[in-house]
Amino acid sequence: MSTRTRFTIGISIIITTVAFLIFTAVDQTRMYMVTVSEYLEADQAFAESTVRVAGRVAPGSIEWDQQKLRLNFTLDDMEQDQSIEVSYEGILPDMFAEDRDVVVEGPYAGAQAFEADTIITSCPSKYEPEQTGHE
Amino acid sequence: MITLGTLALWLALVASVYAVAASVYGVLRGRADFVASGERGAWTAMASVVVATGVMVHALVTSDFSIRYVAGYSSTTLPLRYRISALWGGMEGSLLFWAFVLVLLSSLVLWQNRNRNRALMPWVTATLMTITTFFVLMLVFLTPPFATLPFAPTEGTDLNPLLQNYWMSIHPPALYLGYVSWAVPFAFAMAALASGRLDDLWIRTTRRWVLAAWFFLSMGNLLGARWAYEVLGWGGYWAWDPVENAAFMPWLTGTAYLHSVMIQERKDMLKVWNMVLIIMTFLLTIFGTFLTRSGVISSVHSFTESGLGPWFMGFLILCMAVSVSLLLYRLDRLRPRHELDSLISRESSFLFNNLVLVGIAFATLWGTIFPVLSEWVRGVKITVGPPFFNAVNAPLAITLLFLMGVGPVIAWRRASLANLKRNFLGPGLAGLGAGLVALLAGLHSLSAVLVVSMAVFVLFTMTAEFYHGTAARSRISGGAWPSALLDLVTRNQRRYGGYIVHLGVVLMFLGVTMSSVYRVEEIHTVDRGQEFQIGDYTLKYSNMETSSDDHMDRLIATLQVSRGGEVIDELKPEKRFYRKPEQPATEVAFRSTLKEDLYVILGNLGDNETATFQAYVNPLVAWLWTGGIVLALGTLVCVLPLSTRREQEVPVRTARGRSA
Repeated sequence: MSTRTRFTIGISIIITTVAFLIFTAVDQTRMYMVTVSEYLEADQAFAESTVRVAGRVAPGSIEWDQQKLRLNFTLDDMEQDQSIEVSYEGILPDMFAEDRDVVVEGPYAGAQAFEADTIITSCPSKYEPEQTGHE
Repeated sequence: MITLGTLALWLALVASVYAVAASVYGVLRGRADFVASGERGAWTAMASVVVATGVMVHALVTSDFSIRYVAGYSSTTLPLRYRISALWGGMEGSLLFWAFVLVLLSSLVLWQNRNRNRALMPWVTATLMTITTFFVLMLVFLTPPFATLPFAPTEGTDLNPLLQNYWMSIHPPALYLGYVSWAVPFAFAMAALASGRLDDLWIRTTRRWVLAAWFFLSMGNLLGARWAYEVLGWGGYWAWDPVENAAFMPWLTGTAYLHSVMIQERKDMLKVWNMVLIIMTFLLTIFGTFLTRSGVISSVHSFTESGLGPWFMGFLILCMAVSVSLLLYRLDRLRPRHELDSLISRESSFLFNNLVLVGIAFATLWGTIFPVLSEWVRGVKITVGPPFFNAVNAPLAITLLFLMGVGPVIAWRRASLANLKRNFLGPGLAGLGAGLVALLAGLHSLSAVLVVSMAVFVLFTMTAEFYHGTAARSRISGGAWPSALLDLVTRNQRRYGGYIVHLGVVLMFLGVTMSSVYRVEEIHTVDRGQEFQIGDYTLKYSNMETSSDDHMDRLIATLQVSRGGEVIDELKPEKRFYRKPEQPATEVAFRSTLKEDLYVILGNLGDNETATFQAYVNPLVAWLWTGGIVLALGTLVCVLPLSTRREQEVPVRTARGRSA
């Protein structure tokens, strides 16, 4: 076998490995990003998948039990009149409040209450300050 | 003053466009007067950007709230150093700062080469000024930093509290220096392609620039991680956030370039590959700036809102088109004179190291832009989180660690069995032994065992290098070992500095692996006077104080930390409520030792001072920061002029033909 062939094989192995790793990892770790209404329409399309649902925290819906670290609230769609119930266990994020836009992440739960593993509050961008409405 | 700033930007735009045109015309027509005039144009552009930046800093320091940017990112209660760092706290300012760093570096290049590399310089000037033009163009038309408000408010909105932090005053400048410095080797590479001076002149000229760029990019990433760890308060330091990935990708391709360029210097090979790497690295720095500014990934909406997206995309495509065309145009003349001799050789271990680094960069890029890709292709928005990046990059990184032990010591051209045995038998056995010990000690994670094993392997190969080198030096000079070691390092700075950098990377590998695999997390809600356990620590919530100034209100909890019944420390995590903008923020408290960090966040507060604490034990995190310091020292050893009697580096290459 010539050196050139060996290198071709070696390089191909690395490229194939990277491609394989990416492919399997995407398959195992992908999360669908949807709005509340898309989530409700999806029916069973997301079954067994992790979903990130974007919406707005409904005013007056927050129930927080500090002893049990249990949070329940209603997540409204930002445009349509649809909503889902979300529950979460853990520390209340700093920026979590009524009428805030949040993203909840967790396994698809169909018609049942959405059990969030993570709540993402403010925009992850570090450059734009929070809107303060002085403009 | 405001008019001066705007005028300076306009002048910078005109002058930089002129500098590009005059330099290119001059060099194509062989008109030295145009080349000289182009260079003067470049100096004018550079001076103008400096003036504009000066005006902005002055406005920030003197709180001139008639400027929208100043009103939006500063205030009179903001301490002076944060008023200055407000320069890079927002979009307009950060683009101005980018341009400022670029012109500083460009002026250094022009000054250094005022009598040297005259064949390359017109093209270097043209490239650097093209990049300057792009940024100034955005500053003039899209995100004018000196835009005014109809009525100047009496007080500004203040800088985002997350940015009011020590690390935030040094992390962005380091990162920008890291990003922008890559423009210099890129400019020289373009100059080499355009002028046809394809020998290693451009590589030798930019050797230190590359090391400096790599150094600042490494520091920028590490300081960012440190900032996340201390300020963001989620117990970690790296979240595979698009903004972080943006800075990580050019670091990876830059690291690959740093290594493969050594093969070109020594063996005159991989010339095309080096061009590809430097082009990729530069494009990734622009792409990174684009990602951080446009928010295209975290939210698709801001893509159109900021209006920067299409401009950056256009500039990226322009840069790619021009550089790839130039590369294709010169492709025939970049063909190597030598072929690789054997799969088991230093050349090929460097090549594989390069492929793995680029593989990690590609996987990271893929994961970062996946939401956009999936929406284009399938119409569904799918994202991947940290599990994706960890799953793909962990095996690749472990391979890289292995190659780090192999590359520096394996023989050039073709390694014989005797060479392999001499260099690798001892370290290999040590690595295997360490892996076994790790297994027996109860490390159940495969990646942790592998990393420990490889780390020991690398440490042994490096120690052997230092040992043999010092022994030989001591025999020659008859000197004592410490002076022989010093002599060894100062005579081969790049080589031994490189080893020190590798040592730092090994420490970082250990820190990152252990802190992510063996992290312990607990959440407890306790009343004042109660205690809770985490790991072998007992934390007693002993007090809650409040304090306030005109900037913020603070709630400070006191936790008494004891271990084995003995009080060893006191931690004071805080909750802060900033007044402008009204926003709560978490101030973590942690106790760092070489073994582990105890990291506490004050979560929520209930009635009667009931508090929820989130606590972590993060093993070996300190090794990451220590590794970073070692890495920095190693890079300094590579660059600093430590010795005047450095040995001439003997090129191994045969028949170095003249090109051009």
